[in-house]
Amino acid sequence: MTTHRLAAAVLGIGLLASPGLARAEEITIGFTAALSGDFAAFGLNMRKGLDLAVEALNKKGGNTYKIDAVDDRGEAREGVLIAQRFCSDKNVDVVMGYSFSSIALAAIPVFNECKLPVLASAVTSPALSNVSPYFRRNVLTDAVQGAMMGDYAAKTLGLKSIYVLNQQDDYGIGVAKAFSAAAEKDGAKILGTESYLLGSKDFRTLLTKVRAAKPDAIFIGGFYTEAAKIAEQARALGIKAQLLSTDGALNVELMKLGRSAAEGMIVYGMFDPAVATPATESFLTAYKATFKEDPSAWAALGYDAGMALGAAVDLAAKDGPVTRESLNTAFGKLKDVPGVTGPTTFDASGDRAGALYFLEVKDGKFGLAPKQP
Amino acid sequence: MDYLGQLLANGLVLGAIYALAAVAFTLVYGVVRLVNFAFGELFMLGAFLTASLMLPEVRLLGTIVPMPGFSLPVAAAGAIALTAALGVLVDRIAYRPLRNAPRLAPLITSIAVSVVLQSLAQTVWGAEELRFPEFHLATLPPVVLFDSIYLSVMDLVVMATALAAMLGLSAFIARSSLGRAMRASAEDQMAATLVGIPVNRVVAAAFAIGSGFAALAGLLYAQTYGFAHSSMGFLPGLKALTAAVLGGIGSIPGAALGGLILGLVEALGSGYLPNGTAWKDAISFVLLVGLLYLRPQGLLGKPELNAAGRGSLLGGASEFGAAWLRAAFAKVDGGLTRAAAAGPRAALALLALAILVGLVVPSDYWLRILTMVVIYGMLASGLNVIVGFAGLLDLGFVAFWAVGSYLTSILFVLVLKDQFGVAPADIWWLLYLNLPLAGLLAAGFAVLLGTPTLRLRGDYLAIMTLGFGEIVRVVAINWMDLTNGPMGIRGIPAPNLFGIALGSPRAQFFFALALAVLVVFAIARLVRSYVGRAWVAIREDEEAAEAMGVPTARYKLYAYAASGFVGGFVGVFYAHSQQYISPLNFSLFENILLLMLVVLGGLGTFVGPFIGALIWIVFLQLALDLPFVQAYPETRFALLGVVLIVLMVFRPQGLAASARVALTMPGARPANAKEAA
Repeated sequence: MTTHRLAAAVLGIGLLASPGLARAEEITIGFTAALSGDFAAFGLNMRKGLDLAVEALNKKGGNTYKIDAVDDRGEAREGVLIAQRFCSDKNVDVVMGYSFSSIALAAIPVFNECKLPVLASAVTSPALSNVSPYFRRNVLTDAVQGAMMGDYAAKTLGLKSIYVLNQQDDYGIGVAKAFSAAAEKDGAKILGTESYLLGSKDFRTLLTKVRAAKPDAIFIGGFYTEAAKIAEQARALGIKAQLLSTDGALNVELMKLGRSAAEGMIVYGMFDPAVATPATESFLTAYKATFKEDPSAWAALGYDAGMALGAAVDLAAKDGPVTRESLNTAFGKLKDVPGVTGPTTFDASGDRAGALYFLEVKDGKFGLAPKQP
Repeated sequence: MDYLGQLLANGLVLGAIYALAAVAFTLVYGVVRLVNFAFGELFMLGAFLTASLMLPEVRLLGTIVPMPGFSLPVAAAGAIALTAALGVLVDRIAYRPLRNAPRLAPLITSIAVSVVLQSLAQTVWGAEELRFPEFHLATLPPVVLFDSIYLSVMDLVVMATALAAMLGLSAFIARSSLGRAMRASAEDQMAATLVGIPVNRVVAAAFAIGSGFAALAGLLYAQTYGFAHSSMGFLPGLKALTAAVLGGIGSIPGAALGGLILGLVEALGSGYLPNGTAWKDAISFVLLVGLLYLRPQGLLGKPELNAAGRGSLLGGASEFGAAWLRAAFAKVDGGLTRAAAAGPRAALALLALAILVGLVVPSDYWLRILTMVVIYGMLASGLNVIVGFAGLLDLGFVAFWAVGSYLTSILFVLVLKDQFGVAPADIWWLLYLNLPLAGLLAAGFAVLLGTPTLRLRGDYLAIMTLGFGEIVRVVAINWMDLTNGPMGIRGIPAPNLFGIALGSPRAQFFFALALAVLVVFAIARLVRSYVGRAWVAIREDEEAAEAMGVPTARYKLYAYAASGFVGGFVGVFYAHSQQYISPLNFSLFENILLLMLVVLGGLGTFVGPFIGALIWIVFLQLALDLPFVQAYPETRFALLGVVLIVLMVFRPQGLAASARVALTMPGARPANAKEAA
């Protein structure tokens, strides 16, 4: 290949453009997530971010990208079938998306068999670390994020007593455990832990219990839909404690649903719409122009996943045709691909290192919290 | 005291909404004897329509549409009227053609209507929750009683509205002439027709009022919790059903009482039990199961309503449909009748065809789909034993399936691999031991479930089994030491025989096929034995069977056990084929789905469940490739719902009804006999 590159360098751009060498390929992205049903918002946001990335990549020229989207409805039964659908479709080069860790876990044995690389953006279960050489994700695990939030709450904010609420699933349980362990280590007292089922609407009784314990702060390990309701119902019950939540609550919908009750809530995430680096600037304007709304963290991660794919394809294309196998190798070799959530590098376990921003809701917008670690 | 006071206040607010919804539910049920699963969607539409009418503009189908921006009372009135009209329309399209059809057919169309409405709502209003607009009363500071009990002004408005609406309805039913006509139709539709009551119009009125009340309950709920969402109706719909059954279906004061009790029990239960909020739904179902056991007709219900299940689930047929449609179905019928007459030869031919398909299909993807078809076909066959042959409507079947899947997963992964470090490949034989073992365990569970339901009939029975299914699921989510909770169990080994891995899609298909042969053969032998004859006797007329000396209680338990055995047996293979299970796999929707497969294919047939599974699963996969579905993913299920409604309206007895095992006297089902001829 080096000879080709040398020749290209010598003969200039004209040769590169010739069909024999340019090797412009069509990359098909198999995208799957919950796109309908109760939890469609995460998947749809990821999809919007990815769409934007694909548009940008196609505009850049060279390889072209297209998306084959399949809805898993958040149902475990569909996980295996969709995985097999992508495996059997020889055009599919990479799979992206996934809203639920449980569905990704169900699909992985199938991907292992057909050696199809996966780059997920919203599944945070620690069970997915080291799960397969073909699985990667560009989001931090619950265990890492929860612990960082625990440190932040106890050390940086100096909160002494915290009540922990979590949604009863792998995400909520994982993040609440990590949060509690870290906060206790740093000297905060966990007054109690209660869980609720995803999709609950009525938290008054739960909050009545919390009110009786008189905590400084309430940590909500769950999604924005429930976090907004907890915030609103807590304020209606006269609870004044500081509210803390997770990246699951980092969504502009939080303020639409929770309104004034969400004011002052502190969440964390890998994306901060307030920090205007050159990279996020163009993403923010493009996103707003296309979708007429502010991007969420999931849209940002979907966008970055698309950009990481673009980098991996370029890398793989240098050494010959882009195949599933060569793409998988290229993902492993990526180094510091710039993105709106910071640079992306995958380690051997398929995870990615990254920084967290702590964001506070102020005047109906997420902004950097005044205290940062 | 503060704590208890606040809990009681919370329970009252919730209870008022439940009561209102239960009253609406019971009104329709009393008149048409139909468990309307689409009820929750009318509830949801009430919320969405109100919210939309209150906003200055709203995003519909992705485009901003200007809206009038009414205040809450005006918007609510508009939404109630619209929903009531929609309720009448739904009755006209999906229920009225099925008045004389088998009792399960309208139940299935109501599920299909629910799926269609929910998907359409998502298409129109989007997947995100819609914030319920602020009403000026809601901005007032909360009322604080005794310094510690907080109630918002809107909470008081909600309770007052619910109370006023229920009192108004009671007066209307008791005093007005339309109310009298409704009561008469509820008592006996035939007699009501004879004395000159326009029953169809009365039913339409009941649907209009019931839907309007559903909308009212929905908008109060949305106002209380501050949002509207396309799937918001499912759980409240289930709770309304529970409350209505608790109070005694058909009794309006009973429904109100049931709703109130349910709200209070949920608040107190989740307030005082450790981690009570996560167990909240189980608490209400335990209450339901316990009450039905002690008092089968509910708190204020009339005992005779418990006998509403009188008569066959399967009898009757639609007189509906164009001539060419009838001709098409007659051809299907002719073929099926001949095939059924051929008996074992037809079965062997089908098996040969399945083997051939398994050998020649080149795509792993399609093999996986076909494996899924066989698995769901087997599960539906298990459900068919109890619903199709014994005529007992069971909505808790999914629990047996879960028992089988969890037994093998816990043994293989949590116990042997994690505790003792045994590699799954070394104990491949355990799978074959687990198949009958899980079957027996699930059969035991089934008998346990069956015993308290022996006194129940028809829809009461359905609700109680539904309660059991949900309890098992909530336990699977919350009992983390046993089931690993919502994290599920992964790393379940693929099937293996003497060290030969059977993990490839083709091997799994043949494995599933082999199991299906076993299951169908066993069910066929059982059904043709004296046990099966007793089941069919119970199905056709329980009183008559009892009078002829059939010990119905014992044979009902046999039916539960047989059905449970199949569920557990197939559950084992399901776990090994998926290699990962979590409580998500065993939701109520799966159970409803299985029931739909059975009804779609034909109750009481051997091939029906497989036909139903084939249509459902293959349709879902094919629909994925439609460009329109790719753009609007939620329409996939809406499309399926439409197909189901059409099939049910034109063919309520199921596609393969003519292959029904002939264990009744010739001429006992004139409608079917005529069609087959």
